[in-house]
Amino acid sequence: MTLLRYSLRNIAGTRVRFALTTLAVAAGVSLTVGVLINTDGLRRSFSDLAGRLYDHIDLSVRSQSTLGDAEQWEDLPLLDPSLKDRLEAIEGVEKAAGAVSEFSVVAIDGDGNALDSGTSMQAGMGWPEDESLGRIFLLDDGVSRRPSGPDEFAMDHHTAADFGFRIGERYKVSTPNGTRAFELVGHFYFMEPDLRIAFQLVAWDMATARQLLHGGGGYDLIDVRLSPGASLDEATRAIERELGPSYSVLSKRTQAEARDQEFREILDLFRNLLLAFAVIVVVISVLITYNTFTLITGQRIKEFGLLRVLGADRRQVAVTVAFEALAMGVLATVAGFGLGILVSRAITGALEAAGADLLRPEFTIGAGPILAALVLGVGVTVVTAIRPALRARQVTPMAALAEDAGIDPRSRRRSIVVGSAVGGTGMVLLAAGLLSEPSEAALLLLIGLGALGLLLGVTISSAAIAGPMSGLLGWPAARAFSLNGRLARLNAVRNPRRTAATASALLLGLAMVSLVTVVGASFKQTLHDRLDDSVRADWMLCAGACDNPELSFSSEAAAEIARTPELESVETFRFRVDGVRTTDGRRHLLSAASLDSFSSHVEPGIVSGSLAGAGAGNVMVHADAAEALGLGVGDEVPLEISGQRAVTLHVVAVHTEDSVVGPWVIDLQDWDRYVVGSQDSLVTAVTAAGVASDDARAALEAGLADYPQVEVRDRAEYRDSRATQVDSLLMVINVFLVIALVIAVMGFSNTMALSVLERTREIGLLKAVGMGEWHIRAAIVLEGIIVAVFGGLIGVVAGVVTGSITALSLPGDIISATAVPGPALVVYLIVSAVVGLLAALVPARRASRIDLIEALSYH
Amino acid sequence: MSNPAVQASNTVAAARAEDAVKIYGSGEIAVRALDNVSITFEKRRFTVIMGPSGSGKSTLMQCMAALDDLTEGRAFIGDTDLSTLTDQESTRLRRERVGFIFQAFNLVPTLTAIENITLPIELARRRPDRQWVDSVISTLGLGDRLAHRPNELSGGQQQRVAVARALASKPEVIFADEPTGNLDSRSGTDLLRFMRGAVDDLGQTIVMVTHDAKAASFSDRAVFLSDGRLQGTLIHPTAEGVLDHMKILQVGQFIRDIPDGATMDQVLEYMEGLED
Repeated sequence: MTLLRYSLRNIAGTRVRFALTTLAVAAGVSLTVGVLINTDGLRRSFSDLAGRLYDHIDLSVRSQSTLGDAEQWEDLPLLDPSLKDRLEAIEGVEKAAGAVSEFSVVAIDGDGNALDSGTSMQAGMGWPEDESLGRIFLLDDGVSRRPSGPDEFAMDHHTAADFGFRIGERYKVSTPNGTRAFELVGHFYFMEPDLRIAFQLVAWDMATARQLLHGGGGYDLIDVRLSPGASLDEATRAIERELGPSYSVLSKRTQAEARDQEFREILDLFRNLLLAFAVIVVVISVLITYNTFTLITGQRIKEFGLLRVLGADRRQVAVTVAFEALAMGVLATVAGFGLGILVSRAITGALEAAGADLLRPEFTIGAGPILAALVLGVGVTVVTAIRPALRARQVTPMAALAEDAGIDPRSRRRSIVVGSAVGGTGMVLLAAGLLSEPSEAALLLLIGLGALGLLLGVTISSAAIAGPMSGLLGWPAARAFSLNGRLARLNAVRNPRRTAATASALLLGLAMVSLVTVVGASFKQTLHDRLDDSVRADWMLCAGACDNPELSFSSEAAAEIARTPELESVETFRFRVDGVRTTDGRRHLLSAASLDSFSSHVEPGIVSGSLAGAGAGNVMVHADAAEALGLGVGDEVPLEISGQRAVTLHVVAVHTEDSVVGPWVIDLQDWDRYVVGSQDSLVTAVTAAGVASDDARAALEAGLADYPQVEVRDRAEYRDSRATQVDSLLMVINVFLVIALVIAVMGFSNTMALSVLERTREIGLLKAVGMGEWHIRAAIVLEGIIVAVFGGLIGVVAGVVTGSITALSLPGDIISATAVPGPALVVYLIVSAVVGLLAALVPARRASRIDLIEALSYH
Repeated sequence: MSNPAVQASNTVAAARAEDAVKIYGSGEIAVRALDNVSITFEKRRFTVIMGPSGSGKSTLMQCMAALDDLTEGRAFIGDTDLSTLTDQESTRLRRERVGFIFQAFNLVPTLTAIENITLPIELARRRPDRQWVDSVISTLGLGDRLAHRPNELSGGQQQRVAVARALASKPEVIFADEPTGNLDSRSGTDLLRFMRGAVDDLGQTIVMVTHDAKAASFSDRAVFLSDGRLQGTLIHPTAEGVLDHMKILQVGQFIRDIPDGATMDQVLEYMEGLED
């Protein structure tokens, strides 16, 4: 009992240090728990929604991929409207209703601005022929009515309210068939009046929708409700018998699961990214906890010796350390879990603020977050205390009587050995990533673990150079601040292990920030270089930020500007993500362009063959894809296009460009033959000779007046726009890293305070020989700055090196250039100096107040 | 292990050493801190070990108290040969059969006085003998200080807590290392009286290392150590007797150390220095 009390009193006696260390662990716990709770909630909400989406139907009928493929493809042949009657005639079918919808349908508000597509899917649809089989319902507001005839449309009420669309007014809507004005006659809701999803929806009556969206074609699919008591299996078989193999019947469960699966894939990506950075915070908190326990144990060696003299056995001494770790772990778990719930809310808030709140997450706490909290809270803390506890076990009774219980001199050598081992393992992993060609997931894992290992290794072995390095860094301080500076420098140099331990969390934190900065800058540089190489056109026109190939607009837009005399030529490009499948079963981005003319706008980097005279029936293949399939110019290549055509195309050229066009480029004529939907994703233009750039821009904007969602960008603007995605990703990553840094600062302050405590006697001595309080403060603060800059410098260098290796390890089609952004790195160094200053303030004040008599008394 | 109390009753020796040798370091820098010391500490006696700094007196105490190992020879607590004990057995011996008092008090700063006093008993997972502990506390006059932390106590009080801690588990022998070294002379005298009382009234056995002749005058017997060797014994020593013996020891040391060719003047000059 007394031992337990002893541990508790130790905690109470050092509550600030205990609280700071606990907080560091709790931060790692809370980020992980927050991410897990949030994504669990999102997953559950979406599963619910996916279930409800198909609740009102029993099955749907759509065209079978002509390849008989079970996979879900987007653009399948449209269904003839007569099919609906054939279905309703089948035994067991109560009701059938066709549905039509299309993405990239954009409403234009009263001011002539297109609705922002940044975070919402913009779609147009036909009003359900039978509302019991539809998902949109008229809002009961007294003024709304269903759209009817070619001149009326309706809009979902959230979008209407957000952008001020009023019933009775006329608005333009950009459709695949061109932009036209319609009267807004009604507001509707999707599924439930209050359900907010990231969609901007407009609707026409079914005939008008088919005309506008599908050029008069049929339905995308037909939803079916069965008669009460009819068997799903029997009805499915009956339908399949009646319609034959060119149609597929999808039960509501199949469809709900498919939606759920799609969402899960996106969500898992999001979750893994966030978790990767939560792990960084955890790693830093591990470092801090380890340092704290090591220092605490070091300080208590005499006390442990005393316990041994008084009859405590080895186990009892180790248990006092273990108990403190356990108490800290439990506290960190509980606090981290509570904070995790707040983090989960914060993530939701951030998504809302960014407008990316597709769904409000349901609040659930599953076993996952609880388990993670326990493992990261209790587990991590206890594991970090193992070595300190073992060290406490080794304390002999004689330690109580020794004048000075010195630090094991081997530990510095050992830290170098351990550091080299960890760092070496990291290097091996990175090298494996650099030299072998593993799958993408394996490569990312190799690089991630390798970089982490390398940085940890550097952190652990930094004690080896802490002495000379801080001597060097302390030189200016010693020059500028005479005695205080010399003392600060001496203190940093004297005990390299302490210096390295103090700086370690900051070192690791800054190393990670530098790594991400270098990789991010390299990625942007790569993109810039490539676009500089490939973009020949003066103008690049696309909807939104040019980073989403699925955002498209009516080909009327290109036709419109082609008539502009200020332009010499116009080219159009179409893209379909996963629109082509090769014989090895992999799906790739499908691009289409006018093969014989586009190369004056986008340089394809032809390595063999020629595009002269190329057209329908031809394909241009990227060198990597050609190599993978063993293709060369002149070969015939079998391809599946858009899930409905097995075609054989003739390879006319092999190219290397992959920033604008994809690996498989077909001719626009073939696109029109094989692919449903004829909207353009990118239009490029070259200014006519002798026309000023501003005039060309004005002409383009005038020509695109009906398509305000299409942005006019020159080459530089296009390049920057493509990089914005990288920037926003870096922003998210940096938020996590800043949290990691804040924790690192806490750790720094904590260790600094402990090392001041270690020197109580010595500081008392300095006071005794006449050093003033302010001198002592200055010396400690300067020491803090020297140690922090040491950590910062090593961290930044290690981060830049690791980041450059990472950039090299990533495949050339992602990153091929390496950029080191000097100014950012200088800022990091300044930040570390400031951090050192701030973190040393409190310990410095404490040091200056050390009582002289007490410090010099024997104990 | 058989009952220590039964073992101990077979002999009058609470602790003894046989040909004890302790060598620190090795090779050229080896120091022979104990050089074939054989000594017996009797039960219910207050024995002091005296000698100049570096004479090996603390080493002797540490080795006889199972804190440190002898290089050669054997040390016993009762009939238990310390050299045969495992680490765990030494631990048990320390917690059950030996008490310690240090110059630096060595109280656990985070525990209160009473918690410090009962710590060894609790480490041994035994129940304290309340009556005994209470009588120790009242004998030492600590009744009103029990809830205080060490930093709230005076040096004398802290050392009395340490004495109470040593007595609380009713050990066979208490080893004290310069217990008055950090106390003013009044507190020191008080403490020595308590220790004397513990032997006379409570039947305890105390072995105390000191170089204070006045402290030695409270003992039943003083043994002298010099250069790691026993150099005589005084029964019921007085302070004067102890001082004289110390001088003799120093002269003896000096005579051994006289360099060849020293003049008589140098010898006399040194001896005058001893008078002060």
